[in-house]
Amino acid sequence: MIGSSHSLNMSVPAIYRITVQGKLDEKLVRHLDGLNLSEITANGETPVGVLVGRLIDQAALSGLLNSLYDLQLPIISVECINVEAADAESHSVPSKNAELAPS
Amino acid sequence: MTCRRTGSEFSYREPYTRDALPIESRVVLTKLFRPELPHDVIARPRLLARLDEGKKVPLTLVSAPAGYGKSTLVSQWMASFDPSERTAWYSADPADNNPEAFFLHVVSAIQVALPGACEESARLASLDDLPDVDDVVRLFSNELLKMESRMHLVVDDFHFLSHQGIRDLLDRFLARPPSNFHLVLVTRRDPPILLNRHRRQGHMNEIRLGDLRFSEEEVGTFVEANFPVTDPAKLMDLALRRLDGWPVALRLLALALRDAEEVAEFTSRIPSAPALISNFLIEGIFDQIDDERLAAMLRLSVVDRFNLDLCAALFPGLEGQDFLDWLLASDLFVIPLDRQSGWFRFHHLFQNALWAELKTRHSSEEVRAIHRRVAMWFASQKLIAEAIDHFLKADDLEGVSKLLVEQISNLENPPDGARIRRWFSKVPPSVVESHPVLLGERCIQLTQAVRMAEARETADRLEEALAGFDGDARLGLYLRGVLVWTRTFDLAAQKKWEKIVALVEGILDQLWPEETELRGLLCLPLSNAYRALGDVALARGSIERIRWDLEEAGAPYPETFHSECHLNFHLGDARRLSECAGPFFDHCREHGFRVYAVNARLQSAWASYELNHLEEAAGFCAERDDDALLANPQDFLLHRRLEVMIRLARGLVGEARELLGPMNQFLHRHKAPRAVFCYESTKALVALREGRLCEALAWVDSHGTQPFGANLLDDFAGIPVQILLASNTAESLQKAGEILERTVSTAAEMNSVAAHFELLVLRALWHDARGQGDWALANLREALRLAQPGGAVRVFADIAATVPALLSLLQRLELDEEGIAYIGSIVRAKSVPSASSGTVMVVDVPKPPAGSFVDALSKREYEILIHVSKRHNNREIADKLFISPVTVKRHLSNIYGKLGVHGRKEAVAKASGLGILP
Repeated sequence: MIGSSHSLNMSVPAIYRITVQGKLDEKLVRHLDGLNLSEITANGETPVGVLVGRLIDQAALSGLLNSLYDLQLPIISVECINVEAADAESHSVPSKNAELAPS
Repeated sequence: MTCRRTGSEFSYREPYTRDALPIESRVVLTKLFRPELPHDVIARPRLLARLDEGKKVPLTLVSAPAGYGKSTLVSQWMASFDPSERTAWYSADPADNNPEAFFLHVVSAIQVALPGACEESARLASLDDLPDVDDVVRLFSNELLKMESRMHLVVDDFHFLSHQGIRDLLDRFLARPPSNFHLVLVTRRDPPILLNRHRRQGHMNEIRLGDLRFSEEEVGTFVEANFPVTDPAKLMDLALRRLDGWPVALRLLALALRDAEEVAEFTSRIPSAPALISNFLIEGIFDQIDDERLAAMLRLSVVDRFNLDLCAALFPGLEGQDFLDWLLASDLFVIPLDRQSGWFRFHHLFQNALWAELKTRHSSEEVRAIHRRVAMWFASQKLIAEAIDHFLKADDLEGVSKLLVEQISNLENPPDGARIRRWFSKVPPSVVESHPVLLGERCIQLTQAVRMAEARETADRLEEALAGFDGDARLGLYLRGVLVWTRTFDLAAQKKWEKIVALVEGILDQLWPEETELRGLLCLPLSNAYRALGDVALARGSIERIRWDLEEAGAPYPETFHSECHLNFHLGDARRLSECAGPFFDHCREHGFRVYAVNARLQSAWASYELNHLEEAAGFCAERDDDALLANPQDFLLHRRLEVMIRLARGLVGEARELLGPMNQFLHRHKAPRAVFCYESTKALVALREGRLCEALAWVDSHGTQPFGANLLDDFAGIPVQILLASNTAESLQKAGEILERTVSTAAEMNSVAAHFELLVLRALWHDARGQGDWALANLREALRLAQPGGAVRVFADIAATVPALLSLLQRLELDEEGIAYIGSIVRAKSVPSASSGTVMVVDVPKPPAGSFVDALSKREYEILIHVSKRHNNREIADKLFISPVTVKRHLSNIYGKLGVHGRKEAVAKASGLGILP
C-alpha cells in the first residue's frame, strides 16, 4: 500500500520496506549502506530481516534487489510505503557544506 | 607449443615476467572503443553541463533502464573533451564478470587511451588469479598517479558485472582514488558498491532516469526533426504522456511511423503498458522491412558485433555492403564500434527484440545452426573466444574441441598460456577431456597452480588418451614430455629418483630440438633426481647438457640457472651458489624473466648470508622487486625470512620481530602448508632469540614435530630441534631425538647435504647434552666434513647463538690448519659486538670477543694467553699480573689442555685461528 498522494513511476524517490528470509549480518549487508536493518525472529522460526530505506528511483531499487539475490537472501516481500515528489533533490555533485551523516 | 615456463619445483607465473601481450591479443578490441554517435543525436546541453560538474569527483554514475540514451550521452560528452584530458572506454559484457577479466579490460582500455601506461598493472592482469585486492589497488593507483594527464574511464553496461570480487576491487579503489582519475559507470541498475558513502562524501555525481528522459523542449526538437506530420501537438502529447520521454521509444516511434499511412490509427494502437510499448513499436518497424533483409537482421541478432565479412558469410545471397549501407541509412539502431575495422552492433534493446523474433520464427535447431556458422566464421578470423562462445551456444562441443586443439597444436605460432586459460575457463570439463592436446594443456595449468591431486588425475587420463594417439609425431612426443614432467612431482614426493631419471632422460632423447621450453622445464626434476641419487657430477652434467641444447636452439635458458642454484643450495655449497646466482640474474634481466630474476637475487642473498657476508646479503635483499614478488608467494616469504635471519645475525632482534608482521599479513592470502610453516618457524626462532623459550616451545608442541616431506626438509627441519635443545629438559631432548632419528637419515638418503650437515650439528649437540661426548664429536666432525667445502658458516653460527655449547664442542675437535681457519670464521660469524662485557680488564689486554671460545678460558687464562701472544716470557707475565711464575706455568698448562695443544707457539696459532686472539 503506497502511503502518499504522489504517483509512483520509474524515476521518483520512494521509501521501500523489503523483507527477506535470513539473518542480516552487518558485515554481509555492508553495501546496503543507508538502509535501516532490523530483524524479526519468532520462536523457533527462521529469522526475517527487514530493510527500510529511501531509494532514489527504480534503478536503485533494481540494484538493491539484485544485491539481495547475490547475497542469497530470499525475498519475502517488497512494499512501497511512501512516494516522494517527482522533483525531490537533484543528484548533481553536492556542495561540501551539505550536512550528511557520516558512513 | 604454448608459452609457459615454470621456475621452482612447482610454479612461477612467467606471463608476468615478459612484457604484457599486445592489447588485441588480450581482449576484443572493439569493446574498448567509444561508440560513434548517431548522425541525428539530439544535443542535450543541460545533461552535458551536469556531467561536466562531476569531472572533478572520483565517480560519476549514470543509472537508468535500457533505452534512455545513457551510452549516447556519455559518448557525446567525451567527444567534447579537450585532447589534454585522456578518455578511455570499456563496454562490459557478461563474460567479463570476474575480477581478472574486469581488471584486464580496465587496464587495456587505459592503455588504448594512453599507450605505455600502467605496464605493471597489465602484467598483473595477465596472471591466472589476481593477487590480493589491496596489492592490486595499490599498484594500479600508483601507476595512475604517475600519468601526467587526467584520465576519464567509462565502463559501459556495468550491470553485467555483479561479481563480489569486482565490487571489492572498486570499493577499495574508490576509498582512496587517485586525484587525476575519474570513473564513469554506465548501468541499467545501481551497482552493489558503497554508493551512499560516496554520495555523503560528495565524491559522486549522478545522472538518473529522471534526468535522462527527454524534457518537453527536447521532445519538441525531436518531433520537429523526425516526424513529418502536420499536427505535432498530438505527437508531443503521446511522447510526453504515453512514452514518458523515453528516448528509445521515441526513436522507435519515428521509425515505425516513417511509412505509416495513418499516424493517428497507428498511434491509437500503442499499448498503454510501458513494458509493451517497445515491442509493439519494433514489430511495427519489422513490418516495414522486406523479408530478405529482416531475415538477415534476425540472424545478426545472435552476435554482439558484426562486420561486412560476417554478413557475407551468414547470408551469401545478400550483397553485404548494400545491406550494411541500408542498415546504417535506416537508423535501425546500428552502432558503429570502430569505423576503421568496420565493426558494428545493434542497440541492446533492438538486438533483444530481434532475438525474440528469431526464436519465434525458427526452431531451436535452426538457431543452433546459425550459431555454428557464426562460430566457424569467428574461428576463421582467429577470434577464438567468440568462436568458442558460439560453438557452445550451438551445443557443438566437438566444434569447440577441434578449435582448441587446432589452436594449441599450432607449433608455428602458439597462443599464450594466459589466453588458453581464458578459453579453458569457458568450456565444460568434457571438452578438455576429449583430446590429449587439451588434457596436456590442462596438466600444465594444474601443475603450475600446484593443484597436484587434480594434476595427477588429469595425467592419468592423458596417459590413457596417449595410448591410442595417432596424430602428429612431434605433437605426440611433446605430450609425452608434458606427461613426464607432470609425473616427476609425484615421483619426487615418493623419492623414486631412478624412475625420474629414466623417464626424463628417455623423453629428452626423443623430443625435437625445437621443444626448448619443455627441455627447460625438465632440467630441474632431472638434476634434482641425480643429486638425490648421490651423483652430483651427473646432476651438473645434465644441467650443462640441457643448457647447451637450448643455446644451440637459440632459446633462453633460465631454468638451467635455476636448476644449478637449486643444486648448489641443496648441496650446501654457498660458494658455488654465489658464483652461479649472479649470471642467473643477468640472464633473466637480458631476456625479461622478471620472476626468475627475483629468485636469482634471493639465491645471491642466501649465498652471501651463508658465507657471512651480511652487508652483501642485505644489499641483495634490498633490491627486491615487490611487484614481481606478488606473482610468486613462495619467494616472497623466503625473502622476508632471510631478512629476519640477517637481522638476527646482526643482533637486531627487535627489528627481526617487526619483519614478522608483513609475513603474517601475507599468510591471510596464501595458506599453503609450506608458507605457514615458513612463517611460524621463523616466528618461533625470533622468540627463541628474544629469550621467550616458552613461546618457541609452544609452537614446537603444536606444529613443529610433524613428519617432514621433501619440500620442508631442506629449509626448516632444524628449527624445532634447535628450540628443543635450547630447552634442554629430559622431555625436550627426547622429542629432539625422535625428530633427529627421522630427519637425519632422510636428509642423507636424499643427498640434501645442506639439511644433512645442519641436522648432524644438532645431533652432535643432542649427544653432548646426554653426556655422549664421543658421539657428539663424531657427528660434528662429519658435519664439518660436509659443510667445509661449500664454505657455509652461518648455519653453525646461528645454532651457536641459541645453543652455545656448540662452540665448546668445536674447540675439542682436532683440526688441521684449514679446519682451524674454518672454525675461526664460524666463531667470528657468531660474535656479535656487545656494548659491555662487564669484565674488568688490565689496561693493555683487549676485551675478549663476546660469545667466543673465551667462554671456555677463564679471565686470567685469557690474559696470560694475550701476553704469550706478545712473546712475553713467564717472568714478564708474572710481573705484569702480580702473580708468581709458578702460577703462570700452571695457567699455561690449563690453556694447553683446553686448546688441545702442546706449547706456546701452537697455543697462539690455534687461538688466533679460532678467533680468540684479535
